[in-house]
Amino acid sequence: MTTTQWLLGFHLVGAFLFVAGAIAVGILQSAAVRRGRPSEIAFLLGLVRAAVPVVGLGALLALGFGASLVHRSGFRWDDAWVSASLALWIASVVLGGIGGRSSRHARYLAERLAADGDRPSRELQQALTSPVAQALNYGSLLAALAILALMIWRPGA
Amino acid sequence: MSTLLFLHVLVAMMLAGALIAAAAAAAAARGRADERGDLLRALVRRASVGALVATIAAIGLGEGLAADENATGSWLDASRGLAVFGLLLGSAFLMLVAVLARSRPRLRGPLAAIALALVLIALATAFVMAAKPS
Repeated sequence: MTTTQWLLGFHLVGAFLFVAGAIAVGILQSAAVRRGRPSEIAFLLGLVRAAVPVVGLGALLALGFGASLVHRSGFRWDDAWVSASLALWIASVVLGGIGGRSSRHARYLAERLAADGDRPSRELQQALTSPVAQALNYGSLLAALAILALMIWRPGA
Repeated sequence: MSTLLFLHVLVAMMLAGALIAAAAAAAAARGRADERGDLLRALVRRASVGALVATIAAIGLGEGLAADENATGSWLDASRGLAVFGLLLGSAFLMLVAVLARSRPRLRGPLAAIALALVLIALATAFVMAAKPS
């Protein structure tokens, strides 16, 4: 196998961990939203923490091996699809990071409510279904999917 | 061709996402016989159903892509083997074990190991399909 094939293989593994990890986070968060008791919600949101490092590792692997591929394959950083992918990678990571903070605050609130009677709370449901947090999380995922589209169609290449 | 490839990769990523969620829930459910253990195992069951459906869709899209491109090669045979004998049968096995574990507590132990093995098979399949070693 050539070096480029190895780089491409690990680049895609990184991309898989990045996007699949984000999808796993979404699955676990949506399971938490469907529960009523704060203790169950806090427990499921705690599980999200196991998937977050997968997203981070995938993002770094995809970027690192992708940068090596640009260097080895004759592509240029100022090619439109390459620079757009990099901008979308930054947007995806930043939006996901800010959206993740909202989820973390919802978990802290759920933990407080669980210790204080464990009764369903409208405030907690509002924190979990906050339109701003959802927009940030969906924006992060859409940016990652836009990168996938750019990698496949390579407009301008 | 590109649309098929995009959908194939997208569905495969959804499959891997469902498997990661199943692995995280199954790992957290290990050794738990309480209400939260049941909650997590229900999540594993739902995620494994999603993974099985996504596997079937990914294989279908992949076969459509291979026919469209007249693709051949040992990498394609290897990835077919991983997808069918690893992911398809594995996801069905995970779902079966997750369902049976409701009434047979001794089956709860291996759930996390099966889900983690399937995540690794999914990543190996992605590697083979991208690197195309022949």
